[in-house]
Amino acid sequence: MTCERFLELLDGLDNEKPPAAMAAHVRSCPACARRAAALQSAVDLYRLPDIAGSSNMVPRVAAMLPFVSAPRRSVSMRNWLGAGFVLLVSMIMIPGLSAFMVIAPDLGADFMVPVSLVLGCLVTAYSGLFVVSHLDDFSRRLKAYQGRQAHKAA
Amino acid sequence: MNPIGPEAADEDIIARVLDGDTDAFSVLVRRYQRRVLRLGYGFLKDADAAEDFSQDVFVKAYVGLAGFQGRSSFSTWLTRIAYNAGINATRNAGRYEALDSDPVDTRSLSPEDEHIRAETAAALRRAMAALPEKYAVCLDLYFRDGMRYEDIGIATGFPVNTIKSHVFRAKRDLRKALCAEETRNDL
Ligand SMILES: [Zn+2]
Repeated sequence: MTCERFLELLDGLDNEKPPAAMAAHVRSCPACARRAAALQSAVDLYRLPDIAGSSNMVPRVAAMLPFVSAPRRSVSMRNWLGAGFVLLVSMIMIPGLSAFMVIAPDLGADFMVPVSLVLGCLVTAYSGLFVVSHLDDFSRRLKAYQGRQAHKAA
Repeated sequence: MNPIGPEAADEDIIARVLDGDTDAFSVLVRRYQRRVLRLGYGFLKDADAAEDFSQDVFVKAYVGLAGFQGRSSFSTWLTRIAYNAGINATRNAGRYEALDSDPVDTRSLSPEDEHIRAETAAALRRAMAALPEKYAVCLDLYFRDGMRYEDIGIATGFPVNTIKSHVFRAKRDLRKALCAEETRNDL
C-alpha cells in the first residue's frame, strides 16, 4: 500500500477499527503511523467525554415522567390482523385434514365437542384481548366521532 | 425488580421501562444527555433553551418508547428525535452551528492537549463553514459523538454518501492542519 492510498483510506474510514491492510502499513511506515496517531489523538480530544458536564438532565426529566402517559408494549395492528388471519385459516383448514376426516366419523360427538370448545375458546380469547388492548383506541375514536357529530349539529 | 446497573445494555433498560419501571429511564437520560444537550446548544445557541429542549426530547422519547422497533440502535433513534426537534425549533430561526468551546465538556486538559483540541475545533469549524449549513450537524455527530455514517444518515435523513464525502474532506483538512502544525513546531 502506498502512503497516498493509506491517507486516502484513513480519511474515508468510518468511526471503526482500521482494516488489517492499513494496520500493516502503519507497522512498516513510521511517517504514516505518526500521521494516523496525530489524527486519532486530535479526534479523541475533540470527542465528548463520557462524564456529564455542568447540567444534569436526570432530575428534570424524571420530574416530568409522572405527568405523561407511560409507554406500553403494543402489538401492531398488522400483527393483530396477521394473528386473526392465521386463526381463521386454521379453523377452515382443520376439517379438511386427513387425520380429522378419519377420526371425526369414528368418535362422533366425543371428538367434535372438545374440538369446537377449544376453537371457540381461541376465538373468544383473541377477540377479548383485541378489545381490551384497544379500549383506549376505541374511546378515542368514539370521542372523535362524537366531536364530528356535535360539529355537524352545530 | 432489581435496580438496573449503569452498564446495562440499552435494550435491557428499554424492556424494563416498558415493563413499568419508570426509574430505569434515568439510566438512558444519564447516558445520552450530553449528545442531546449539545444538539440543543447547536440549534438554539442558548444554555437554558438547550436544557428545555433536552427535557422535551427525553420526554418525547419516553412517551414514544414502545414505537422503538430496534431497527437502529437506541442512540440513533434518540438522535433522530433530537435532530427533528432541533429542525422544528429553528425552522424560522438560525441553523445548526457547532460551538467554539463545548459547554457540555468541562474537562480540564493539559495546555498541550488544550492546544490540540483548539486546533481540531478550528479545523472542523473551517470545514463546517465550507459546507452547506444544514450538513454541519453531520460533522458534529461524527466527530463529537463518534457516530457512524449510516447512523448519521438514519438520524438526519441525509444520504450516507454525502455525509461520507463531507466527513472525508473535513478529516483531510484536519490532518493537513495537524501536519502543518507539526512542521511549524519542528522548525
Ligand atoms: Zn506511509
